[in-house]
Amino acid sequence: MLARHSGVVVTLIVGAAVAFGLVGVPADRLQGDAQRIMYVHVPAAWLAYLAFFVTFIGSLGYMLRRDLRFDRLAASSAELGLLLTGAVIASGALWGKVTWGIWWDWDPRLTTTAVMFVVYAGYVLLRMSIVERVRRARLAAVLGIIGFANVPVVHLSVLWWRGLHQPPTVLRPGSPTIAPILLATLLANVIAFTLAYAWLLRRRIALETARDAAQTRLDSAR
Amino acid sequence: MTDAAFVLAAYVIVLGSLVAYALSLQRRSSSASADERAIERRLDER
Repeated sequence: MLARHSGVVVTLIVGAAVAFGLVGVPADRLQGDAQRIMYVHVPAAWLAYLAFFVTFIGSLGYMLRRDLRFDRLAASSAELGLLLTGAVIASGALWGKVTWGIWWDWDPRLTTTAVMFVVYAGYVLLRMSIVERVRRARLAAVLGIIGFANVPVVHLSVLWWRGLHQPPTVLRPGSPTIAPILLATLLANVIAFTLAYAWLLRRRIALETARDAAQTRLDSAR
Repeated sequence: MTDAAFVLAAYVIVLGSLVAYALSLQRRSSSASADERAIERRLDER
């Protein structure tokens, strides 16, 4: 029952968390309403990291086991991570325009995020350009492992270099520098977005599995 | 543009991209199922 209506359940949870961030929680004392962008921008960023970590694990698994299930996991998660990174850059540009007065700056966090986007766009394009299934999985796994090296750099860039982007407020040394109600709302959105990611990932893997099964059926008939 | 408009635009972009992706998955899944049925039909006809 729950599995059959999982899409509706996830939509309701995300809707409730997002609505609370949009109108339920008080506005920030300094940034006002603009800070509400955080409730979608930060979860999208964290999930992009998670998605690329899953791609890294899937890639590593494929290189060690040569099992296409790992490749399907890596490919599916990379596509979602790329989508989320695009959403992070776009929502960050809007937040930047309100708080900094500019849409974009070659600040360390923004630049490393742009590099991350390009790396995984390359990953997706690489997969699209190789027809032979095993070769596609092998080369994508190499890029999935090497490309992940930039992901921790994105997160740590605000600690390593000075720039416009604020340092971390939650995942930082010491306790979070954020009001408890704002932190609770942020965490609720992170959980809701994680559920949405898991739901989309499951469906994306099912699609990749169906494609592989059809290809195998065709190959065996030849 | 007011701050509220920027906030709304950010929410629309992030949530809209997730919804659009979910819909694209649904379309691609339907297309994959149709391809699978076509393959089965062709193989049965042989």
